[in-house]
Amino acid sequence: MNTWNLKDLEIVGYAESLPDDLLPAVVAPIYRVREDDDTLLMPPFDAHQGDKVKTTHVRRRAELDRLVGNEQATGIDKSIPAAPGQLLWIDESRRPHYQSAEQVRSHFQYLATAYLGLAREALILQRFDHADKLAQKAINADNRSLDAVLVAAVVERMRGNNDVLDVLSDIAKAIDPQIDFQQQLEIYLEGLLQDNRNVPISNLTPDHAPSQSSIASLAEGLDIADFPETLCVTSFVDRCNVAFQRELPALLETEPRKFVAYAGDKRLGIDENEFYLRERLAHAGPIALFYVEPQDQELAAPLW
Amino acid sequence: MSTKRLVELGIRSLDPRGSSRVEELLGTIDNVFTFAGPFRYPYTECGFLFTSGTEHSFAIDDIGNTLPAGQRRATASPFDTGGIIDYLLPNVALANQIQFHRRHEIPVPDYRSYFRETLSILFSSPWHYLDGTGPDDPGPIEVKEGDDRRWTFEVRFKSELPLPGNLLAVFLPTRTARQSWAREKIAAWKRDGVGVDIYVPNDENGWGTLLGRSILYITDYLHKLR
Repeated sequence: MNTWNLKDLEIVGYAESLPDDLLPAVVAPIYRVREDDDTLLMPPFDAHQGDKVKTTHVRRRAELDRLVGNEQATGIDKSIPAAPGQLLWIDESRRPHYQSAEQVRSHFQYLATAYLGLAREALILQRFDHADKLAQKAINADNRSLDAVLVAAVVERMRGNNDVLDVLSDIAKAIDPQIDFQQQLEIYLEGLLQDNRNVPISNLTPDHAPSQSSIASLAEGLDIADFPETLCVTSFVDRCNVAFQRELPALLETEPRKFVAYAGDKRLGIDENEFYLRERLAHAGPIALFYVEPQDQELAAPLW
Repeated sequence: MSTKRLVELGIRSLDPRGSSRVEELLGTIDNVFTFAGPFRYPYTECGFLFTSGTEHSFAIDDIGNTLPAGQRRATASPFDTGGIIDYLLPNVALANQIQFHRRHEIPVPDYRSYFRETLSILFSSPWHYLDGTGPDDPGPIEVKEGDDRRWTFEVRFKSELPLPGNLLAVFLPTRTARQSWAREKIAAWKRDGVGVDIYVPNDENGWGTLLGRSILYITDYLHKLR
């Protein structure tokens, strides 16, 4: 067993070759001994606390090249002096950072929370793939993020993949062995329904680039009075952008996910699964309803 | 898949810095590499444990007859062959390194009797093979350099090692298991009775968590067999 003092070491790489979809990430450093250019200390470390490192994995410099060649490690261009209480992490542009553990954990917690917020908004917008990817970033930042697992569970439930729901329950139990996953999922879903009236979409990254013309068309929502036979037959809709010959419930079934409702600049979301919320919507004040085709052209709140 | 197959399929390219250089020199570039024991080779997030029956299926022909040793599609070595050239025999001529490699190849699954003898004679406890403590006696193989690669048994399979039907257990960290493609794979593995161990990694310590989990799993598995 060899013990080394951190002040005698510098970081020359890390023991990962991460794909883009697993970034950002904290990574295990590969150290070089300053006084012996050919000696590397590799993880796993038997102890990595205070100013000491213990490992049995003492290798030669060429080992790093070999691991990089095998896509099992990554070298960094400019070595970083090792210091106690620091963590090495890689951002989404693959830049290395070496900061205090407290700073890194705080930053990663911030990232996880931010991504989870965006994932939640994407769920409400029914952009399920997008929500799934955003929540993946949250768990990349925080390996213990239960909400990231719950987002995946919502997505899989919508897809009817019950086998996969069991897997997600296993992941949740790895994070919290005491968890009642089904109960947590129900609570999360209920929270989504509650929140869907108050979620701003202004900072949500769209799946597709915005189109000015589609925003304009939303802004030009027509008054219901112009269309006696519109879909706006239900009491809570005050205006809409397209006239239809059939009533909303039928349209929601035949053309799912193509309608969006706004109360002021609050996006409410509406489809056949949420139509039962009409009573709630009725209390939200004037409602504008938009038919959006193609679906990904619904990009922003109406500009009134 | 072997490095050769991966290159043929365009999944990866040959990097002269990587292990492919050694594999080409030793003639193992069309082999899939595994170890008898816990995960030894850094660095990875996920790990596969294969059933012992996997070896048998590479030693028989299409109608179930055992193939002659030279025709089997799997071979074992009582050390990590990837370390021969640079680590285990670093100051030996290449021709002798290659000869050394050839001389120590053992048919699969017959190597298991030698493996068993090694564990009982060279190790004060067979568990020391699992936990990485290593042997107390260096043994008859004339390699004195190197680390755990010196005494870790390697089992190589020709070209491709199919996962279906051969997996005993799979180990994945939470972030990998959560990925869309992975959770569907995991669901299929669970349906097939494969053990799935999902863990929260300690990123600051590299693959240490994975190593520890694999040792625990194998220890528990062996205790249940006793």
